[in-house]
Amino acid sequence: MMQENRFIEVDHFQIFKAHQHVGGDVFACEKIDNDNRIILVLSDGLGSGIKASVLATLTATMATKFIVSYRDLKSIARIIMTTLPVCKERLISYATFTIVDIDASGITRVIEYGNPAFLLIRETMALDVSRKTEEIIFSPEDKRLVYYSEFKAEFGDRIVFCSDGVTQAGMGASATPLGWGDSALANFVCSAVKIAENISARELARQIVSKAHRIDEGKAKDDITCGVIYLRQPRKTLIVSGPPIKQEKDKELAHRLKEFIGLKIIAGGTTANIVAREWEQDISVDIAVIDPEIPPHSRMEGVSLVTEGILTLCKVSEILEKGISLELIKNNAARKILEILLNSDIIHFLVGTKINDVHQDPNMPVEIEIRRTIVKKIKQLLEKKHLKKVYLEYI
Amino acid sequence: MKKIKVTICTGTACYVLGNSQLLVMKDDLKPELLKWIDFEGSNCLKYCKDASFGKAPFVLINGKLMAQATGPKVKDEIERLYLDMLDGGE
Repeated sequence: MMQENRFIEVDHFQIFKAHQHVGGDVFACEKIDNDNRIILVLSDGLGSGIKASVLATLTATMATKFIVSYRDLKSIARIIMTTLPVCKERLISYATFTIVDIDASGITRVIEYGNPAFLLIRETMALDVSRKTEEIIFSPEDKRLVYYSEFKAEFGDRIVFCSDGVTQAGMGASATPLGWGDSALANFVCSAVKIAENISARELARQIVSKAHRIDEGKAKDDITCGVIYLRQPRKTLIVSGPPIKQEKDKELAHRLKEFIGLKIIAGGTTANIVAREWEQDISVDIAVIDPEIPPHSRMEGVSLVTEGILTLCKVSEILEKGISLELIKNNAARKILEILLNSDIIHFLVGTKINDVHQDPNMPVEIEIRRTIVKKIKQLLEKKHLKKVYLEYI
Repeated sequence: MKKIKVTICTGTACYVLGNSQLLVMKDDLKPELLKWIDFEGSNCLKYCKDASFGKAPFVLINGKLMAQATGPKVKDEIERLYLDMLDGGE
């Protein structure tokens, strides 16, 4: 979710309890109101394995749906608690949850039931957030406490929330008899953001979960899940590909690339030559590693990456379509483009529409599609599969 | 002696039509010959834009253009230049 200079990055990381193939912690995330609101739920079902997973999935699904229709959070909590099936052994219906509702301006509402308290990290400090306690009375013997907080998250803030698999890691061990603990977690998060000021939501969640896993001596005693929300500047990338239809536009193309604030990619030999000519720069091709399918990448000062056009973009599209993990791909120019694109939040394509006559040669492979088709396909894949904001413009 | 400079175009057409193979041809050359050659890539030599230069793939060897380059053609030319160099004692 983003405004032009503000982006809300959400990610999580999870390790299941040792020897379990299904998690009892469920993390759900949904964008609503035309992408202006994000609802996140972390639910931890009673026990572990399938039963816990069902409870947590029900909770997470209900919470994301109800919060859209009900403003009264107490009602949401009550409905969820009364709807869950009752455990025959323990006679309780049980799944803890943390629900975060954050809008584009940073206004955040959090409802917590049974999970460790969330952390609000501003710069490198954990802030005290005032929580209202609500008692939900089911019967005189069954009163449950739900915590509610509302605050405005500022630019640069991080919200960290986790399951008790994190804070109770190492419980019973001599060094951590009561588990890792809330305050040790807060200290760990503060020092992690001190070390890496711009640490991404996913990387921070990964570090927290890995630390808890290490405290559990590599054998998780419970599902370990952590979610992180990070309000930051969006990472922007401009990718130019193809010469402009009219030569008079060459200068405009080079100028747009020069003035762009963010990462810059040129995908196309002729396009690179145009920019090199306009900027009076040299291009050097890196032939150290050769992939017979994809031409090598080049370097030019002021540009993050220079690659060939059609073959490389076709490969980018193919990898995105098949959903292949980048680690499994040869380190060629297509992978280098993807590394940049997948790490960006806003991607601008500036596509030249001049047809390259040489590509019409019947000796060329048929799969060389026209640039516009391929770029459109990449745009759709980045939007649908990776939730990127992609703009496409022709020149 | 001055090294022989081989510039291989890695633009779309040249790469697809055979230059991807030329970039690995140095693996097949004898080491004593290889040390006298400077291989370099070009993102696009631009000869494909004008049919009068012939057909892709294009390679420049010491600045001289070779159209429809193939491994054997490039190797022959390199060997010829190498022998010339030895004869000339440059």
